[in-house]
Amino acid sequence: MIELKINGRSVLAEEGETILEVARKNCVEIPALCYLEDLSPWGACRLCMVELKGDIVAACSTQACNGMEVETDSLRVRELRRRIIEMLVSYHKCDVCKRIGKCELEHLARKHGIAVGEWVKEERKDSSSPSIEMDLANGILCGKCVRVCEERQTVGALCVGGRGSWSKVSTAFEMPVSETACVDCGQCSLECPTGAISEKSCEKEVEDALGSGKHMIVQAAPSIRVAIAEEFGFPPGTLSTKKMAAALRRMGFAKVFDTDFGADFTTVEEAHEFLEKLAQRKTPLFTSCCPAWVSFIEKFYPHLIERVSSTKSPMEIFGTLAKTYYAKKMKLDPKQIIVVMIAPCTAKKHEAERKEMKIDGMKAVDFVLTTRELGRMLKRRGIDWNLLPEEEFDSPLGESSGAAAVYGASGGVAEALLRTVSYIAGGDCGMEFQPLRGVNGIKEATVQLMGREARVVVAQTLGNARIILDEFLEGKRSIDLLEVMACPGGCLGGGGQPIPTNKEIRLKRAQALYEQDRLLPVRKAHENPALKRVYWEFLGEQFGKKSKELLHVERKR
Amino acid sequence: MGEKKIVSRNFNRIKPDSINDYLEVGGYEALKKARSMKREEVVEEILKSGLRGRGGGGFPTGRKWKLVLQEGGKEKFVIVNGDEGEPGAFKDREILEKNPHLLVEGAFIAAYAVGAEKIFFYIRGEYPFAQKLLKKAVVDAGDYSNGIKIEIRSGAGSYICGEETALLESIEGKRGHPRVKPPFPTKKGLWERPTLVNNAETLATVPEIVLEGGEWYSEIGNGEWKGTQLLSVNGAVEKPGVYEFEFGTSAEEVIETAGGVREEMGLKAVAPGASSPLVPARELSKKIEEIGGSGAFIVLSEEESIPEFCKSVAEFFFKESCGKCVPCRLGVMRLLEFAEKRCESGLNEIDFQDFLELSRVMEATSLCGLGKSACVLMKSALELFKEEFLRS
Repeated sequence: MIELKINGRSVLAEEGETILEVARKNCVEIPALCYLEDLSPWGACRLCMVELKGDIVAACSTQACNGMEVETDSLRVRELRRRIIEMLVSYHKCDVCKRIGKCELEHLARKHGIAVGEWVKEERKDSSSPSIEMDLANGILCGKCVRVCEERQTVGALCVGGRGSWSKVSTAFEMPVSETACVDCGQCSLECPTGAISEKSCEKEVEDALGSGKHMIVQAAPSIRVAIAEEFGFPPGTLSTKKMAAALRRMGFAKVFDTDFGADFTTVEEAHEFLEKLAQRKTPLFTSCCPAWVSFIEKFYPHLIERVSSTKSPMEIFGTLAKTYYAKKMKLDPKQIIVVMIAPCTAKKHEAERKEMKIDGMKAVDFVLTTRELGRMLKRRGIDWNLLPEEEFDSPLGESSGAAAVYGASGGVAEALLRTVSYIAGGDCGMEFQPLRGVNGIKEATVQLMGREARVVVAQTLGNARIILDEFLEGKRSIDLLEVMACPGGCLGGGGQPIPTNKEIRLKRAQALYEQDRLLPVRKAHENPALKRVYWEFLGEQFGKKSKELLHVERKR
Repeated sequence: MGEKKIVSRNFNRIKPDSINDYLEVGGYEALKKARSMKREEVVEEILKSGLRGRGGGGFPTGRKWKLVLQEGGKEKFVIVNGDEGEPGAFKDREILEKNPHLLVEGAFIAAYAVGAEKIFFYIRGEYPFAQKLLKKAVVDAGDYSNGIKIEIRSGAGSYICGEETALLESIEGKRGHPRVKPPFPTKKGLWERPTLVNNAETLATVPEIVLEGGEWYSEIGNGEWKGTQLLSVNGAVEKPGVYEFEFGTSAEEVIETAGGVREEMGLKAVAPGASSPLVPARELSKKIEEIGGSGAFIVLSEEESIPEFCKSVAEFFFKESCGKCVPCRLGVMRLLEFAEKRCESGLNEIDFQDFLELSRVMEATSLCGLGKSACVLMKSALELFKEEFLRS
């Protein structure tokens, strides 16, 4: 322990902590646009400058020392900080931007009473990707996107290019993003302090479709209900399933359904697939619900693609059943049905476009909106979250189990699978798998299945996934089931979730999801009565001919 | 005081591509002597000599060596910084082209003293001939390597890569962005290993110090500044070129040595590169160590327009800022705007105040030396030649 003074007040700190970390722990605010706790210090924005007995140093990259006297708000620091913000906004385009009201730079400028300028640099838009959109005239070169992509995800699609004052965030050889190694996870858009990188929006398309007279149905992913209220100022982790259903209904959707329903099918089908592989000794099986993870395998480990489960993701299963089972049941022309997905994820936008996901030439899911886009659309309609009533999902695609609820958290898919796997294989390996929950990047558990030990590994972020895969390929690690979620925390920390999303917020959302699971009467996917009905009325046998045809895809290089 | 040849002693006396010539004038004797001493003793001699870095920073070389030596038995590197990019400086090139073996020997001594097993020569990309000579020298000196590996890396035209941490990034194959310090390269440098980064001239001074002893060297020079310095004298002088001066020499003596100001021209100022303050004609009694800079000595005649000169310097920084930190990336843009505005319409009092504010912010908050010193020259020009900048 060391002792130092911040603004005259004595505080304690651990050896090796930076001034910024110590200050934040002690509720002293120091602005910083390029700092992220899990990434290497960058020292570029220079907003965290503090005074040490006359010296000006960057708090993000200066270690706290015993006896240090730090001034975070001296006259000189305030003046320098103000000048830097002035510089930033004077070269920033701020007229129309998706991030208005939630832009860190705008917030700082307003706090310091600085007018935001409109100095338009050359247009540098890149809309080539299905998932993210870059408007780099608004980039402030904090380098967060570059480091998130390189360090957290080990994808490295983004870099800094150009020289001198014309430096900019770029891709290799300035190729369009769609042609880079980008896997669409959208973490860059989540961490961007301004509107320079954002989700590729399809708000307008959905608005248009809502007025087109077609049969509009909507599904919401498991992690939306614990996050959407944040867009209206509610605390993180507020569980608002029923208000969300009411809000979606008020947007004009004919039916409000639940992706959790699809998740139960994913669980049951993948459980059968896993047991088959286990029996044939063809494990490991990789989960397939995270589209960024699937793209990551395709781009970085193409020879492992056959290890990825053939089962479609909950979103795609839902879309498929909506345009087959539901259409038949309701006597609707599938072409007249528009399926909108509310996802915490930008990569789902890409998944919806994939050729192999089409049924009879139709997209199973027509539009994917992120949580942020939904928040904006609801606000535009003047929907007041406080005044919303509590409503239920519609039937028949709205019922689900607790196993589906936990899909939204890292480790949830593995947990849901284990609940069902042990039922199918006979025996019981439990309901809650604590070792698979929580914030650790890599989590492991061993369960008894079919007379042998099965090793289950869960990784969050692609950086950790890469570690696991490399160890597996070097023969240092044996795996039977591998669950990977590209985003930290799983979908609840997804690239399309409300801003800000950080460690504490992720933790609160996860708590809400697990609480939801605990309170549900049905907690295992195969016990979902609506699921049983669909197999009985439509699909036939679980993991049978028709299910394989509709709910699975071929994974090939 | 005045001209004194230590580093340049054998310039033009031996053929640069001949190791035999170098051996004949006592080449590699210093290396042999160093290797017969303990590492600590070699470092001690350098400490005693009072030698300071010649790249512009002026950090005591012996202290740097000691820091790297103390890092224990881990893998270590020595980097020879020959990425001379300061406008008007070409003294490192002179060493490479006139006596490359001197530099190789200095680098070997440094590697031995700090316990490094590999040396990187990072040479400016615009010096192809120097690189060629160095390559030959490295091959010819193979017998003296004692197992120390050498790799020559070429710069690719970026000024910022001469900054030691940006140079490290460049060798690692990354974009030349300066790193956040600490950790300093002596602790975590190339690939996070302890690394000694020394300017080429600094290392070229080392063999003589080892041969003659630190004490001998510490008696040359003036006050805190020991020994000699190579200056690239250019601009409006009769005999531009690289000259070696003992510290304590005045600017006036430097100009005299280079043949005086070119005929029928008056002298206006001396610019020691782009990142140090101008020295006006009335202050030519200033000593070279007071003038500072990294070896450039540009003589500006009466005919020279100071604002135009400032503009060219601003354009230089505008292009060469690495773009990483905000005050530099956007500050050099403002700097150029000021310089351009002067050339179009002249500046007024408000502009002067704004400029001073800008220079204060950049100096206090920039990440590396480039941003910290980008405004220095123009600031001094505004003080010394204010009337030239006023609205005309």
